[in-house]
Amino acid sequence: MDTSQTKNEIQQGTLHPLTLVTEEITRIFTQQGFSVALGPELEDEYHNFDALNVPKDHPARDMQDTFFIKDRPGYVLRTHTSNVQIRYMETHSAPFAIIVPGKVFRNESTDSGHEMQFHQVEGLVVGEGITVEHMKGTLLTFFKKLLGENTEIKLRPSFFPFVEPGFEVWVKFQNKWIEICGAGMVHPNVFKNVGYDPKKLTGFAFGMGLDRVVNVKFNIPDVRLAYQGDLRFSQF
Amino acid sequence: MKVSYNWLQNHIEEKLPTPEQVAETIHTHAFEVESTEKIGNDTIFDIAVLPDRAHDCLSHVGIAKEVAGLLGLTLKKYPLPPLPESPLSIKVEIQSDLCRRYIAVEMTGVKVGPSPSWLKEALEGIGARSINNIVDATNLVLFDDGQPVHAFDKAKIDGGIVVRMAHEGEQIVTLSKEEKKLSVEDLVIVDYLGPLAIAGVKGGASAEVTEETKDIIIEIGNFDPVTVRKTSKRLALQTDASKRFENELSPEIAYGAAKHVVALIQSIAGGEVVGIFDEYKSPQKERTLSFKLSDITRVLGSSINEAEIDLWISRYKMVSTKKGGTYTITIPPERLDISIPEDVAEEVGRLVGYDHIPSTELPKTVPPRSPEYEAISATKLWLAENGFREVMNYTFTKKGEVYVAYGPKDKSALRANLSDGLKESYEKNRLNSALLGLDTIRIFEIGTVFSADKEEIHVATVDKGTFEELPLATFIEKYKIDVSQPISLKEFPSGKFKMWSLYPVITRDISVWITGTDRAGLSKILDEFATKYNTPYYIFDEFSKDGRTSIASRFIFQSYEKTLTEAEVEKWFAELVEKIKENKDFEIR
Repeated sequence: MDTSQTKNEIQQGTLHPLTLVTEEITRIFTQQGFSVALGPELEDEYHNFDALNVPKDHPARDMQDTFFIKDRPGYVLRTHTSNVQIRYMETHSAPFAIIVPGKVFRNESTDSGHEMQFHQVEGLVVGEGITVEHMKGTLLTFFKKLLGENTEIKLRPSFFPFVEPGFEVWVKFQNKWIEICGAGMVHPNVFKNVGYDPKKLTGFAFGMGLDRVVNVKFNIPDVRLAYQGDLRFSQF
Repeated sequence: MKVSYNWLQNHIEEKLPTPEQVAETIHTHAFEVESTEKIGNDTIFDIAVLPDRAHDCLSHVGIAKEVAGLLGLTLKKYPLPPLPESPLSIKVEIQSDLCRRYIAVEMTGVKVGPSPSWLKEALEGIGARSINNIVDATNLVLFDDGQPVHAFDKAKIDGGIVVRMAHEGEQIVTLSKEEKKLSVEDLVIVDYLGPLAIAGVKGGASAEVTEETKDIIIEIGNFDPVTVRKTSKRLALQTDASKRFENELSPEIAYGAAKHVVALIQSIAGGEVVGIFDEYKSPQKERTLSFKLSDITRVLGSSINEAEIDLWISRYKMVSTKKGGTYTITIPPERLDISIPEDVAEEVGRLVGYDHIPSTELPKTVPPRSPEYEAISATKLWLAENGFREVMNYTFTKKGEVYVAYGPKDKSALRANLSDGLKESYEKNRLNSALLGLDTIRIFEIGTVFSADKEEIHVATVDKGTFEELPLATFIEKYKIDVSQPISLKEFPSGKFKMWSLYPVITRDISVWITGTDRAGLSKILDEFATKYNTPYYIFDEFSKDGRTSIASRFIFQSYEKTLTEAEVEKWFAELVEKIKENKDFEIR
């Protein structure tokens, strides 16, 4: 690789739109007191499922939905960045606030709205006295900074095994309500699994597809375009 | 699940608000209403019941309870007489604990025929097919109570009924005349000759109720959810029954459904009840849950008070006591989703409405640094500053050291390096270099690669056709990248993505000598041509010699609608050549 040319002699490079969005999201959350944590893409079933209160026989654990590793029973490609929730709590004590950007995998047939690999950002805040009010405040501030000051958010009931209650977060962007994020209060079983005291601590978690944020933000018609290695995708 | 507004109304004493208001209430406080459709004088909602409420809400009764609770309305009661306790005329034997409860009701002298129009319409409104009055009655109870019910023609049952695991290779022809091969993991309902039904999934053709049927055995069972799910998946038989059983139903609802189906059959097909069989070895235990206001506020925040908990208890008809600030509720048997105080917090929260919970900022803190992430981020920015463009490729590839067990056919390996993918990107982008306006392609990817024993983050670059790939840390060290500086984008870009054309590109170059100074004149001609044929161009070479300047431009022709032909482009390009020739100061090289 030749780095002898001075910067003036060469054209400025570009970053992939997913990187741009990740950078923007981490910047906003850092201002809100979050650190960034990372974790493995090839994960054991304990961290990807069991510790997150996903029962052994849960439909998500079918081979139709999850990529299992050949000849390595008990290992999968992570289906969400939530595995890092567990890994982080196993090695850190509360209070803390983290976000986790990363690549995740689902065994689905692909079309303009679905891809086998995509990017997520996960958030986890744990401490004493953390409530839904903090979750709402954090997400509202985040979406206003990301999408504009007049952005509104709305919570609807949802379900994920590792939270209770669970929410769908909808944002009003360019006068349209879109579902953009899953969230919830950390399920006490998750705290028990990492040796935290669920009587003392509460917390909230959220996760959103970064590809979806990119597509919404820039109006991109097909999620698969991001992974073609095609520079025409990097228009920003 | 399709839910009828008129059907819901039959469960509610008061007049329901408009269908739009009902849909809005369900959507905001319970489940997503995916669509609302007017059919005749009814409205059909398509409701995405959440997985944790599939126990009790894949039914009109379940949704009616939600609507009544959320809107403060009264559920209608339909009292039905108990069933006679006499035995059946045939033997029933339960040989597997995967059958949690089995009720069989024998009826004699039923008259099979078409259903009355109200029943046909009710079923057809929610997308079910009317078959005959007996089958329709069983389906109505399924959609009303959420309890699957099946009817057998008693005359076609040989000997008695046994519920057991299937034998390997045992075969059944289903009601839809498909032949299915069973395995030892499937639970089946058999007579002394062979399978009558796949438990909880689908009935068989051998004991089908037809016009000639006089005596029937009605099955109201409860089967292990995991067994039903696995069987239904393996046999590719997803039915209204399997969908309910695989989400687990309370065995407590079976007896009410039995009374319901018998009363319905008697009213539309006549017949007498001969007897009932009900084996329920381990009855579901009554469950209670105790909690305090503080258990709810530690989740939802301090805006919630006891009045809201009281409201939930009264709206949802919870049997409860309160002593010294501690509530104790008896959990309704079908509410398998409720077991801890956090579940009550969810109930109270969605009843009150999450919009009514205020937003609060987290306490301000300075977060610890994130060296692992910052190293990646700093390297990406350093590469971009040095003229590299980032790409992302697929993790899945043809060959590697680690494979997924069930994955994309020809690409089930996890990449062991980034370079192979980057080579493909390089070739692709080199072909497009004209479109991109780049004379050299310098690209990079940072991503995870997988070897037999570990995963690692690598950096790969291509510069003038030379590839380099190193582990992230090695790369940072080699190029002395400063990862200690905080990283931030100066400005987050905005704009609207423009999809590129998928048709092939034709390029044409033109070089012009300019005598004199009318460079602007040439630019004007080039620009006008570029606008007219929507063909971007860029200047790729420029030099001066003997008082003249040579300008070489490259035009890129590509249509959004079709593949352009050489002849078409030739014709257009001739126009440009003519135009340039008109000016005496310009000479085409």
